[in-house]
Amino acid sequence: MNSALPAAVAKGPDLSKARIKRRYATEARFRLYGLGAITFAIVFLVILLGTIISNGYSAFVATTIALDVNLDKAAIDPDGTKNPETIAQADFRGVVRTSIRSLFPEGTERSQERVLFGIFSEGAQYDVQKRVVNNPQLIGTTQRFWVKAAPDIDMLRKGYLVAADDGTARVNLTQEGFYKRLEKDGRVRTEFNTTFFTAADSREPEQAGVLGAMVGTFMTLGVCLLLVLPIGIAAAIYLEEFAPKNRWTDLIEVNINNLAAVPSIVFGLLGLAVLLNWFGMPRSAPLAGGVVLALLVLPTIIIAGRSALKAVPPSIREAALGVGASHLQTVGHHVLPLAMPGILTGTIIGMAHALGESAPLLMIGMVAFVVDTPTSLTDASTVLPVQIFLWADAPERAFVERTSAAIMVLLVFLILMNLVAILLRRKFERRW
Amino acid sequence: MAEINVALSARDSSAPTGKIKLSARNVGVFYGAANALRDVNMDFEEHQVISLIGPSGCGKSTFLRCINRMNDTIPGCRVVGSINMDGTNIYGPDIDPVELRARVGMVFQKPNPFPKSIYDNVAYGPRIHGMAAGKAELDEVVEWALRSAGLWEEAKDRLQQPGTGLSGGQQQRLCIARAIAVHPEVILMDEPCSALDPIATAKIEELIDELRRSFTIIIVTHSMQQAARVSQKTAFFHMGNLVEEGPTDVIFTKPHDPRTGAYITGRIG
Repeated sequence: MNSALPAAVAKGPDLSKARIKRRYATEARFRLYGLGAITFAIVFLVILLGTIISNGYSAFVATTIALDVNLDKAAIDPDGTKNPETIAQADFRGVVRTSIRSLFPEGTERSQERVLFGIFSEGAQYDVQKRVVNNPQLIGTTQRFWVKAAPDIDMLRKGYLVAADDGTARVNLTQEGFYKRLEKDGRVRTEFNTTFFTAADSREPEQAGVLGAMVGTFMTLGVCLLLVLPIGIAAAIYLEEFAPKNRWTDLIEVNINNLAAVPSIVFGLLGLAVLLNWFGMPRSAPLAGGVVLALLVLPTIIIAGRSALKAVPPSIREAALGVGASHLQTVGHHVLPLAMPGILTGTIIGMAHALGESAPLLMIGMVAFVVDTPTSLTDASTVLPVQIFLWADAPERAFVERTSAAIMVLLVFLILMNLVAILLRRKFERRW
Repeated sequence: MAEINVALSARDSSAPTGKIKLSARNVGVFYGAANALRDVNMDFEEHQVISLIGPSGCGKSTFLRCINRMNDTIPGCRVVGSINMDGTNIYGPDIDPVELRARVGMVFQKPNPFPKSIYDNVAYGPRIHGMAAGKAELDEVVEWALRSAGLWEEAKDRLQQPGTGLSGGQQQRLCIARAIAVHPEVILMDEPCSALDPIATAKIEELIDELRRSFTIIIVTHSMQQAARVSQKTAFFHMGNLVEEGPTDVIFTKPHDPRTGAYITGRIG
């Protein structure tokens, strides 16, 4: 022990009340900042979700109007063939219009007829046609159909529009009068909007749905997953376990990390130039979309895979090598199974990223207006985020609520995928 | 234990034969440019326990890992010189390290069972080397290995439970069972008791003495007492050099080199 203590040591620690209080105050302040940041984030999340839900929930219900349609034999099937093809050719538009006129037997002027017909969806005739073709026995009877109201009437009922006669309003007072009468007669009701989940896109909001986009999304993501999982895992294993550490592998690693940060639209341009123009893949198809998304998420998955492999403790590798397992056996029997949950979590998060991606798909034509649900990988199709983009652009008020509803569908899928990732991690998480 | 002794082959005579199992000649190890081990010349007799002692970073573990070519897996590590096992250089061109590691087993510092069942831990080596023809034979091998490692009585009712659920000492004996299941000729132990409490350590030491009848054992240890208790021969390493080797009692009572004496009495290290 030195006899002469340095002056600072001799003075000892400063344990004065003021100093300690200051230290606690700093800590309290820091906690407050953290709390503030979280509150800020939560408030914005609530605002975001609140806006989407309040705008979109009404799209899940639709206004329907009871229409008693006289399925006149003379108009539909005058020869009594009962042949579905002949029946399908019949003038159902005329049949529906006759029925609409009969709702207001006092007779309307010709100029008002257009207004009257405008209360009902253009698709009403197809509903009637479909039911009659499926069941020709109905011909000659009068059946009650709950046909969809026109989008403007739907909006009027949901309170998004106000009728006026100023020439700019979507619904004039005459039309509102007709609608009010139907409502008073108990012919108007609100029901669950099944069309939204069973139809593809349409110009008419009341006939548009997300099924086409959902199927397109599943096909695109399916192609993406099929490519990304084997290629990503193989690349991660090779780079992490087998590749020699030299300048070339360093270069590859740097490039993979950089690719993960490349703007997604660039991958779209690549897809356009290489897949469509060079390989001649069909435009707007899930096949090309899946390949582009695979290129987009591959770096993310390789990086996640490598870090999962790296997280397996070296003691497990040594144990396997120590009993005489070959390098590949060590990786295949021990390292990969232990890294798999991490790899799968990375893959699911990568897929969730792909699910929400729209920019690169615009470049390869998946922005097309597609009214059919795709049935093969080369059919023209669209995906949910692009569908949202398309609807957000549409001028009709009815598409506003459908845009938000489609966002809700997309969010549900995103939440489900992330939930699966969390559950996988929980289930297989190991501690050494 | 009778059937176990039957299971041990003719090779496993219980008394030291004096036959040289391994001999290291001019062994040196480089990590990149750093020379971690210089010019080691040493012979290992069959059915002996040889302990390697020395302060941290002296090269004893590095030398141990030369014997089953575990250093091959470290990038940038280079081994020079030769180690002969039964007269064949294990660094020779026609020696496959994977095959060598089946003949030279290893037990590590920290118990490292696979995160699989006790049974699968022991059966892994025999499986990949195609030792057992069927389930019955594999069961036999697993039982033999667990009995030899003194773990059978504790583990026989929970063979399908994860090996990581055992206590530290049991885990280490499981690792020993895993190593001997492939019936190696030499077992390398890298500070096998450093993570264990004294009771578990005593069990392992007892086991090492038992296993000596069937295997040649080379053990790295930081505990002088352990080296004195379990080994017949001791080698002292210091700063990458083999300073002195000889019968354990001689090393501990009349060391030739002053550095050995200083280390043993706790003055360097």
